[in-house]
Parts: sequence; structure tokens; C-alpha cells
Amino acid sequence: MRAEESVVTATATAALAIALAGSFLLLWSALGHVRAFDLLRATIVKHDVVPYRRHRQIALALVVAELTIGGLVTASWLVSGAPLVLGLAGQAVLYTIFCGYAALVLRSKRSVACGCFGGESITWVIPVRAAAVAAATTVAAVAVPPGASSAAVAALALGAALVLRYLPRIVRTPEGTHAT
Amino acid sequence: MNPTDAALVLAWIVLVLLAFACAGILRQVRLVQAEVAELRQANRHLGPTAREFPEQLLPTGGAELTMALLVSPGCTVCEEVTPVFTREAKPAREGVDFAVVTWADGDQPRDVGHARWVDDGAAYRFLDPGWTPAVLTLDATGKVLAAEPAGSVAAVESLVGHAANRQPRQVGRGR
Repeated sequence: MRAEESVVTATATAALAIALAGSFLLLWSALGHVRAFDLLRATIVKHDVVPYRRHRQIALALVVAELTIGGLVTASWLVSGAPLVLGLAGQAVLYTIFCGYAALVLRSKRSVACGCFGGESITWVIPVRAAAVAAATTVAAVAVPPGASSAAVAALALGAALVLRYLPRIVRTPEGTHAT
Repeated sequence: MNPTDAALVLAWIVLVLLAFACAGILRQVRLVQAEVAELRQANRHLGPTAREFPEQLLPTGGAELTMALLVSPGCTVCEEVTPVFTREAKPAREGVDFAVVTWADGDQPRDVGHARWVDDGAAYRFLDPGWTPAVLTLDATGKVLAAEPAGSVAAVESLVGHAANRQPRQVGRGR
């Protein structure tokens, strides 16, 4: 294997692992949102980005999108030979929307919770994380590496999911949490 | 790079990522411990009251409904929406009694216009849906008819306007 090919394969593998981590996070987040749907509604209202009258439908659409895309990417990866590209494309779009939405909330300078997983506040980490996952998912979609379902990718994806999940806590400022 | 080297590099990357994750989880555990301690402290402020209905939440002055804005100390969004709620709480909205409910623990009563200022831990705990600010509607029997998020100006305006046209249902006391 030539050096350039190795670099390309390693990059594509890392991108796929981060993309898979993104899909795990979508499912993780969706479970929390289903369990506390009213808290999700309250958080969306506090963000004050979407019209109040539409907040319930938007919360519902978010949960459906998380479950559908997270489930599609994870299932496509688990089932050998299934096309990953469709799910990855959807995931890249979804994370790009998350990035833009978080940036809008940040611009309002309101001290509010992210609503992603727990009570962490919206900080610059949130849109950066979403942008990173969107970029990695796009790379993975255009260059899915051979042997995509390997154990190494699974281990890497799980590790990346944990790091991405707790990233706002790892780099948080003292006021980086928000109760309700 | 041969496949063995690549696997070795990946394994090291995974180890580093797991170390980061462990650090994050440890930090999370410390945070949870601190939050539990804070909640214990807060519960002492709220007092030892049981889940019995706080009578001061019932509508007064012949009103059929109580519309309560639930706010908590330290909630900046609550500070934003409380003036909107008190501005909308006009006596012209017949049949609705407005109240701002909090557990400010010793703070001076605020001027909340035509609304009532209810600084009572038991009332707060009875209404608490798990987030603030929230607007709750109670009928004359004390039943909570609705609990809606009120984290924006548009939300408060919409909820107060809606309550003015709402007819209470005659049902038993309790949530």
C-alpha cells in the first residue's frame, strides 16, 4: 500500500468513526428527548429562535429526525453491504442545521441550556462540535473506506462518541451548566 | 504504513480518546455530587411541606382561574419574562387571577402590578413541572389545567392571551 493511499484510508476511517459517533449521539439524544419531551419544548422556547406557536411541532420533528437518521446510519453500518451514503448525507445536513441553530442561540447571548443531552449551557463548543461532526460525516459519505464494519472503527466510534458527548463538560467554564 | 502499524496507531488513538472520556466522566461525577449538595440545600429552603394543596394558589376576587408564572431565583430568562407577564396581567382580563410564584427565600416582595407575588416553597414545589419559567393554569378547585413553557416574550403573551378566553373545567382537586 502506498503512503498516500494509507493516509487517505486512515482519514476516511477516522471520518467514518466520527460520523458513526454522531449517529450514536443522535440516538442517545433522542432517547433523552423522548423521556423528557416537555423539557425539550421548554428549552426550545427559551432559545427563542423558532416561532413560539411552532415549538411543539419542531420538538417533535427533531426527535423524529434524530431517531430516523441516527437509526439509519447505525443500521446501515451494522448490516454489511447496505448503502451508508443516504444516511450519512442526511446526518451531515442535520448536524449543519444544529450548528447554525446553536450559533443563532449564541448570538442572542441568553444564558440557556443547550437541550442536547443534559443541562449544559450553550457555549461555543456546541456549534463547533456540530460542525466537526458534519464535516466528518461529509468526508465519510464521499469516501467510505473498505472494511467499514471493522472492530477498530467500532472502538474508535464509541470512544469518539463519549468524548463528543462530554466535550462541553471537559472544556466548560465554571458557569457552563444550566439547571432548567 | 502497513496494516499492523495502522492498527497500532488506531489503538493508541482509542486509548487517548478513552482517557479523555474517563476524565470527562470523572468531572461529571464531581459535578453531580455538587448539584446533589445544592439540591439538598435548596430543599431545606423549600421547607418540609408535604404535597398538600397550597390554598393561596386558588383564584381570588371571584376569578375562575389562576394563572401562575413560576420563576426561580438565578434564572435570567425568568427575569426577562416576569415584566411581560405582569404587564399582561390586567384587571380587564376578567375571570383570571394572576400570580407570580417563586421561592425567593427572604427576598422583598416585588411590584408585580395586578398580579399577586407568592413567595412560598410549598406552592412552588406543588406547581414545579421540572423547568422554569413556566405558566400554569389552575381552576377554582385547584386542578392544574395546563403547564406550558414560558421562556420567551412571545410565549408569555400568547399564554396569557389564551387563558383569558379559557373556560375552566369542573373537576376534582389535584394535579
